[in-house]
Amino acid sequence: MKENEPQCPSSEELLEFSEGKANPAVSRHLESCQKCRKFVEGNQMLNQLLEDYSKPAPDFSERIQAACREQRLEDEFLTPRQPASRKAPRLVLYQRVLRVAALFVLLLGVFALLRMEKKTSRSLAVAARSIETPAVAEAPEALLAVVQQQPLSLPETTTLPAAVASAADGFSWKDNMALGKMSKSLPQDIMTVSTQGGSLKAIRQNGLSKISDEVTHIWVTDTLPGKNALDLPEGCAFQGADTPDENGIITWTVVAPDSVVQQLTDCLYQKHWRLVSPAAPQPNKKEFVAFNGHPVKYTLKIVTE
Amino acid sequence: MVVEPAQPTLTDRQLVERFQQTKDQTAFDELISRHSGHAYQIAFGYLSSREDAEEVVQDAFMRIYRNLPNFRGDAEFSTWMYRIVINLCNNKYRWNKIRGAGKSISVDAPLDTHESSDEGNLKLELSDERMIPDRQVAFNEMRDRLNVAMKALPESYRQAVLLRNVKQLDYDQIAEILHCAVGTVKSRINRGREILRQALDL
Repeated sequence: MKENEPQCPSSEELLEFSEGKANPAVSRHLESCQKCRKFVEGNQMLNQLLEDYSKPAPDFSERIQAACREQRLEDEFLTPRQPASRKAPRLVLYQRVLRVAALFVLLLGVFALLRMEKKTSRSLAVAARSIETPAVAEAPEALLAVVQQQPLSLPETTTLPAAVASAADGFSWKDNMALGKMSKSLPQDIMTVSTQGGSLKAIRQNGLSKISDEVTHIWVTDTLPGKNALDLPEGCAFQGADTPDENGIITWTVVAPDSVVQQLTDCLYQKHWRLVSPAAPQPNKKEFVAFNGHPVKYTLKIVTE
Repeated sequence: MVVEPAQPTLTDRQLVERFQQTKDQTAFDELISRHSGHAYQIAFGYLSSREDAEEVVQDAFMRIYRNLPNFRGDAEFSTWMYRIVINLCNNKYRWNKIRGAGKSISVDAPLDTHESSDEGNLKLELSDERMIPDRQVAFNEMRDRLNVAMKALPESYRQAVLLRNVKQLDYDQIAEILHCAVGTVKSRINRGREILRQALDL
């Protein structure tokens, strides 16, 4: 910093003068003061160097103009689905790969979720399915009478601890999973899981479920079917008629080994019949079912909407 | 390609209106010609990197181009433009800080012009063509020394000195850009210039 003599202008005045600000007094002073003149000349040189140092490339403006024209062309001619065309091809490729990867991961997640749900709720899947069907209260009036007159035959129940019972209330796959986890700690000979509404009865024996000896299911169809609609598995005994009773209900009874009841009900679901008897559990599947060969009396009550 | 200004005598506001009404590209080109240099100096002063400065200014004008039809003219075009440039500089500066300090050492990187791209380190042509050869040599030598001195200068001083060199910016504006007091700006400028003058024996 320049040390000013008493009669010399301040550094700030000299600096402003060197930046081009007119000041007659400073101008006159510089004619006689070599020190100040050197200070101003040094600053002017520095300004020139700095200006040169920080100036853009000669064609800078033209390049920006060209970029804006390119932008204009894109705005005018490209569809909204192609805004990325200005990006480097490699970037576009990365984006596409990422999109495909994201889709793949999403599908994988959905698949895993579905598998998990299927696996964890396998033992109680049918009960859950019956909940998803219309409640009894929504069924035809004639049907209500049947349900009231003929309470479903269920085995004796053993009520589980409250936590287990409440976990089963929702019948979601999470609840089923919780129920499955908790029931593992229970004595192996506990036979039945009873919930508050009494609508879920999962029978457990030595870690497996057992189908009730007697099951009554009420199905709703668009048109009353003939008995040929049942693709009866081998070993089944059928009893019933194709004509409905005075209440418009067809009643069929199938006595079958427990191992084929699931096959039977699956057949009915595939016909898009609707199950409206949530109080009756569906037979369980595969490894969770205790097949002991005991016959199950499976009663179907079929009505039309 | 050099684009001749559409109407050199038109004010910025008139050029903006012309662009808004007729989409006259030459009007926008004229705005670029007038302001891109100073926008670059601000960005370069702030970011201390030629590449970053060019990128920011180009981005700024692209945004201006897209948004100019909606520009209501409440402020001067130059004020609006500088605000956009400074905002983008802020973003870039923060990004560079997060990513690492590597970007800030490129103040003396060779200017990558189309003409010099083959050799990379060609000097800029002198702006004052009237310089006599001896003085030109001296000037080139001084410029080399300035590059070294700028590299050694603390970043806060370098920013203040370079922004002060942008003609349109006064102390208040520099203080606003650098988020510090006017007194601090003056102090940094004086101190920075003093360091440079000593390094250059001026």
